[in-house]
Amino acid sequence: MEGTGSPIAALSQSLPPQEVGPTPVNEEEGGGGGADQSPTPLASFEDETTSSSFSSFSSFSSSDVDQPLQTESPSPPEPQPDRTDSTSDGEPCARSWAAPGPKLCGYLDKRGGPLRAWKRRWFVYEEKKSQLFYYRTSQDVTPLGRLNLGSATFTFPLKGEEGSFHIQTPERTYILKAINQETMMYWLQQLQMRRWQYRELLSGGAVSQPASSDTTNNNNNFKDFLPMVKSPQGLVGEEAASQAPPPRTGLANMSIKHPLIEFQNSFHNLLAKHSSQEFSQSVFHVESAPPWTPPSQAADMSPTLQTSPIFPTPSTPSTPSLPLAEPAGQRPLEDGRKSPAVLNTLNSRRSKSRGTMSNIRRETSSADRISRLQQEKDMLGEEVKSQKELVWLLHKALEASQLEKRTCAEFLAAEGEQQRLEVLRHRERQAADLRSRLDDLKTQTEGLRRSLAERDSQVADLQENVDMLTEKNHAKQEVILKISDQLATCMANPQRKVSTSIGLQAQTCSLLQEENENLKDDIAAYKMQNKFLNSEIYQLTKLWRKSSEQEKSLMVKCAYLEASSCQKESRYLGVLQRLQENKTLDPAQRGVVRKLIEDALQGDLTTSVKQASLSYTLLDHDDYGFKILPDYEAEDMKLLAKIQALEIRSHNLLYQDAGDRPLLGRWSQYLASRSDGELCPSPELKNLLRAGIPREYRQQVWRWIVRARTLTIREQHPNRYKQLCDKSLTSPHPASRQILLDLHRTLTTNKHFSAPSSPALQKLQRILLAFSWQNPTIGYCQGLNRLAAVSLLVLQDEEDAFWCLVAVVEVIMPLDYYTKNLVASQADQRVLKDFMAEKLPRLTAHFEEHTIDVSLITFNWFLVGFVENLPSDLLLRVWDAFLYEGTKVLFRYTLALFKYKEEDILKIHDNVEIYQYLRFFTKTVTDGRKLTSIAFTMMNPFPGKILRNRRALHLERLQGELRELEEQQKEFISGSVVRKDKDLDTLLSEDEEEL
Amino acid sequence: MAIRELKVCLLGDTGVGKSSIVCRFVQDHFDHNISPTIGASFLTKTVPFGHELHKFLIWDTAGQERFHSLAPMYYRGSAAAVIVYDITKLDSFQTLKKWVKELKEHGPEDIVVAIAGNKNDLGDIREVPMKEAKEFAESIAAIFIETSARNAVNVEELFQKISKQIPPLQNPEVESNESFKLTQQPPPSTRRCC
Repeated sequence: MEGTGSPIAALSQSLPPQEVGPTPVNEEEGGGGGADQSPTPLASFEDETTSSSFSSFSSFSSSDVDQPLQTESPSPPEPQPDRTDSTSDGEPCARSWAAPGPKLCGYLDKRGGPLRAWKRRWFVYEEKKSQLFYYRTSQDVTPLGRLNLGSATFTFPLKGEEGSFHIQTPERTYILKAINQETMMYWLQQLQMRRWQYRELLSGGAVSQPASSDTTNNNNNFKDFLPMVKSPQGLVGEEAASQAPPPRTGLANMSIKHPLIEFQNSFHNLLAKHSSQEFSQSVFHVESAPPWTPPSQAADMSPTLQTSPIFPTPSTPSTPSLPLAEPAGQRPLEDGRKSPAVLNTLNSRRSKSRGTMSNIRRETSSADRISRLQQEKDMLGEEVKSQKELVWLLHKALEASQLEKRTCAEFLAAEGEQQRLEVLRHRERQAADLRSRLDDLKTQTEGLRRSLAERDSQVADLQENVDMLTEKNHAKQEVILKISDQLATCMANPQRKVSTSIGLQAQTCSLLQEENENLKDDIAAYKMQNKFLNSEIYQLTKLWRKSSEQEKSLMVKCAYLEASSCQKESRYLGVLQRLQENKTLDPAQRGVVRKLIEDALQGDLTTSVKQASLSYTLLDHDDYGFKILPDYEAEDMKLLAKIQALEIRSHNLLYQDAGDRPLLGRWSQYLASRSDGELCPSPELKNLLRAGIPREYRQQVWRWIVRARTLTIREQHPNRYKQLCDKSLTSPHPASRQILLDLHRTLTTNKHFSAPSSPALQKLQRILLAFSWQNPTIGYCQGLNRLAAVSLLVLQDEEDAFWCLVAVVEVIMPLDYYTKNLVASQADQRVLKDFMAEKLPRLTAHFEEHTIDVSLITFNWFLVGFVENLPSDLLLRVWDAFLYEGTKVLFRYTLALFKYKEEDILKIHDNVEIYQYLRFFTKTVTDGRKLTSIAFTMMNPFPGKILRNRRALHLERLQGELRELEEQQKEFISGSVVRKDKDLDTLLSEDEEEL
Repeated sequence: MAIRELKVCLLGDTGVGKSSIVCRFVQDHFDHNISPTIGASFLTKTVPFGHELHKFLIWDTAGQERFHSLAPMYYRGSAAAVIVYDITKLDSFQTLKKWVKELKEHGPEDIVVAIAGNKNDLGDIREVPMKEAKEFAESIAAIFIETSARNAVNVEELFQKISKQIPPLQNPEVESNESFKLTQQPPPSTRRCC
């Protein structure tokens, strides 16, 4: 909980640092005046107010209240009137931020300058432009600088100084610091809110009803993230100005200026914090009391103390010596308390007998010994007593015998002298004997007495010993008691279990605990930061969405304007063109017109393409990589080409979205109802395909159609494509030379094929080579490369594209469409002429008049399915229907194309010009939907039966002609040239002219 | 100044540079990867010649052999045919001979034939000797020139030579319309169908 300290920890203990009083920074920086004044008068004033306001709260003793407040009181004096004002207001300051809040201002530390030092600044938020001005003091008029908040983001660092947060504007990052965490949150949330309001204002005009509801909405949303931090009273807002430089006394201020309830709340808060702090201190005290816990204390003690396993006393560090000192005090030396050395020895002695169980055992054994000695001593005492009795008896006996002897001697004197003498002597001997025996007994007694004394001293010693041991035992029992107590408490509080068991472990444990606490704080801090950042992200996302919507609408507007400008320009160019053609103009006017045309052409297509690429929808290439604007080769067509290009652009700009959306909806609905992935033919599907497949589904739908068209072949030969690829590698088809020649000349305007190393080209090569063996009679025909390339662009997958090519060439197109003489293709041109005569009689007549053979133009439309003849979006739309319905679609669209431009063509009355027009007009078709509707409604009825019949007819005729020609050639070669043949020739060629 | 419309068709093997020559002549532009011509392509270019303007109506045909059957549509009524071969590909010279033969058999009687040996810039991998080609051209009374569409060598000259070979109008006063008719309606006796 020390060091870098997480914000939460700081928040929960936000009081203590503030109590320290004015910081040096304040004195240096903040507006001066207030800081210098003595805080005492104010303190007393505040005491009065607080006590008065607190008189109603009986739960707090006045001393309790006064104590913290007095310590906090060094706040700057404020002008009296201001004070009364704010108290008289008496509004509850529960400021929700649904209403545009009060003026957002206050002191914040700003990190800046070359020293990166904190400098106190007065910050004021300005709503109009959403700027945060900062001044040196609140009285200053000119700001030192400003932060533009309109596009700023906010965050706060997790490990930074308490209360510091960052405001990132596009230009730079400002590092600011509020007084505490709470204030910081207040600031951040206020800033978020202000930014929101500002953006609302910007986008939606006035912050009227919807806007405010939006903000409340917003507010609600924010509650999901973070509860609103109430304004830290006195630290933020205009009143904060007065508490100027040493503003770390906010809580003291609060008591005066704010309504009762607020005060009560904050004071509650304050008290709670205070008490919790006390609590934490007491906890700390308990924890620190065991001398082994804090390493510093342990270090003070002797090293043996550290290693000693148990110190039972929870009181002061000095107490552990007591139980040791007591038995020591009984000792004569009485040195236990004095010298640590003795203590050491005692301790070491104790430590020698470490291990409680063995200690006890040893004690019991010594008690045994003591009792045994006691017994021995008792026995000896009894023995001595008996010896004394014996001696006494002997004395008695001696006296008696002497008395007897005297009487005997008297007696002997009385009877025979001799006998008496003998008796006497005998008796004397007897007496001497007895005497010596008595002496012996005496020495024996003496010895016994001595031994008795010895035993006595021994017993005393033992007694002493016993006393000591019992004392020890007692002490040990106490210790055991303590330990078991501790153990019990530890059991109750498992966290401390380890810490109480062994000292070292306890140390690490407490460290871990501390760390744990820190981490918990960190987690809380992270959580808070996370919540805040979530709210920030949420808000930014909202803002971003709004701006992007605005941008989009602007883009649409821009596109619309551009489109209309394009239309105007094309009209202008059209007028110029007509003027140019007008031969009635005089030379000067002609010159002017020519000049104007030159000018118009100089602002070339390339620049318009560049402009287009800048705008978001019009790029050089479309989704499939086709160049959007076609190149026009003919110099004399440039004016016309530009007009067309402009028309295409204006059309694209106007209709790019409008028409596609409903179609997309229809398609997604259709596809959703068919999840099995198989297509079943239906009129609905046909109509959808005619309208075109949206890009999102084109690949999928094409794959279905191709699969349906090639199902039988693929079922018969599942690995067909791979086998064909292998075959084409091992034995190349003769056509492979032509394939390689054409490979790099395929869709050169498409970006996927324009690069020589493009992977699409390699795929294309494999597809074409495989196809050369799939259908060896066709092998390769120029044009197949384009078919395969389009398939590849849409289907992406190589094998799918191969099968698409197979489907087109072998299934959809009639037989012999691409074989040796392209007979079926030529027959189709005749069929087309029939249809043209039927559906477009005016145009047919016009063409006949100017000897135009449309097949010269349309031949390749059919052969390559319009690839490189139509703008890519139209081309793919044609193919959508073509893959499903077959060649009929090609006829329909060909006729529709002529119909679409019928009027234009009819205006041209020159053979060459008509050809020139026909050569490129397909690329100038702008309204695809119009074309489609012409193709599928105006050209109706278009029965397939008639098509088939006409095809068969023309094919038969053509083959007959070919046979005749071959015969002719044979004749010619054989050298028999006859005049007759020539007549036949002319007949045939007249036939041909109808082609 | 009188405008004469001259229909010219380009024939020749695939990939020899027919379209490139046309592109160089008409737009003075060269593209390495010009799309292969399918069917035919039509371009015009007007150049002054003497006191006339020659408007070349150029039909650029597809080179692949199977498109030969379409060629009569294009060379029919042509005032001139440019048969192009690639000097680095002997095959293309053989194809050229086939074309000459076909024109002889089926082409307009008075058609001006020009032989253009393209890719002159790739002289170091040449397969067709200039001499051989020139001799062949002389043998059929055709214009011969080696060109490089890439380096814009002899392309203009090719068409100038054609202009020179075109017989002058019988009546210089006739309008361009009549000359057009002339090119459009060659004597029927020469026409052959595919």
